[in-house]
Amino acid sequence: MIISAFNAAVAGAAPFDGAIGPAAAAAPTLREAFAGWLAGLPGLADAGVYWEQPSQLSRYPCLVLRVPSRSYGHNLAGSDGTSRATVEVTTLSTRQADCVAMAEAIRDHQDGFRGPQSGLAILRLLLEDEADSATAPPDGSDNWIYQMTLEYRCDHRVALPASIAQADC
Amino acid sequence: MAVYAGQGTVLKATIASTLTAIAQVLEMEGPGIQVGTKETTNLASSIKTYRGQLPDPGTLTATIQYDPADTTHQFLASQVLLWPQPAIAWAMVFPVAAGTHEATFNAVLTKFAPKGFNEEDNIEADIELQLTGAVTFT
Repeated sequence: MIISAFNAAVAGAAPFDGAIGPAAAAAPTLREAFAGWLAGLPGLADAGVYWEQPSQLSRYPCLVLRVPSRSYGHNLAGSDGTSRATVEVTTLSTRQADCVAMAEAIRDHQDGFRGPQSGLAILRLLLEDEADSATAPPDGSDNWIYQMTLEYRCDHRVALPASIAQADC
Repeated sequence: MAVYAGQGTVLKATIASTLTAIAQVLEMEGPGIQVGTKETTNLASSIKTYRGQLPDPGTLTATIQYDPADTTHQFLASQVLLWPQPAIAWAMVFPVAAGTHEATFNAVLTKFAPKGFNEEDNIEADIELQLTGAVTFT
């Protein structure tokens, strides 16, 4: 398992046990966990992680992390302590080969993963789609920015809402 | 009179002599009480006639988010394999504001079927109760 500084900071979170139930109260959010995980993968240590599309002036290669959709599980008692998120990880570089290499490094560590990662209990992580694109260079330059977007489905635990007081009404 | 959501409904089974809530219930259907009819039409009739037969308390089905480590789910898994399996008391407690309202009955657990072992779903289990005797709605 890859242990980054971020992982070390959240070490001690409740271990993954394969059952639906409450996540550790102090567990990081999905986005924090993914960012920490990506930052610790071999070959990606120098790639910055952005939350939105970087500009032409940003440092490349880099990664963009986005959660375009996310749903939460429920049963008759309320929240069931799970969530299903679509997580998009985009690799960007001025060299197309770098994009492919980063995407492959990520897939090599994440497609099919389940277990604890960066303090988050991941029940299932599946690579569902992959797409290429490129950003045209600004006027007067020849600096194309290549990118590959990996779309993951991530089923994971979330903390049960602690401030809910249910009453028949 | 009021309209209620199904959210908050609780299924209880007698576990160690105590009515205990089954954990992580996703949905329930039932009890499916039915009354058969016997035709009493004869040659003198000008329209068909019927009499009611014995009420059948029917079945109750539910789906749970199966957790093999949960004690109430372990009870279900062992109860369905008992032979002979005694009918035990169950209760379906409604989420009604005006006091406690519930359906109580005796039943035999006739089905415990784990499912969802694929890349899409959560692990769940279908259960089915065959009710026996009276159903009391309070």
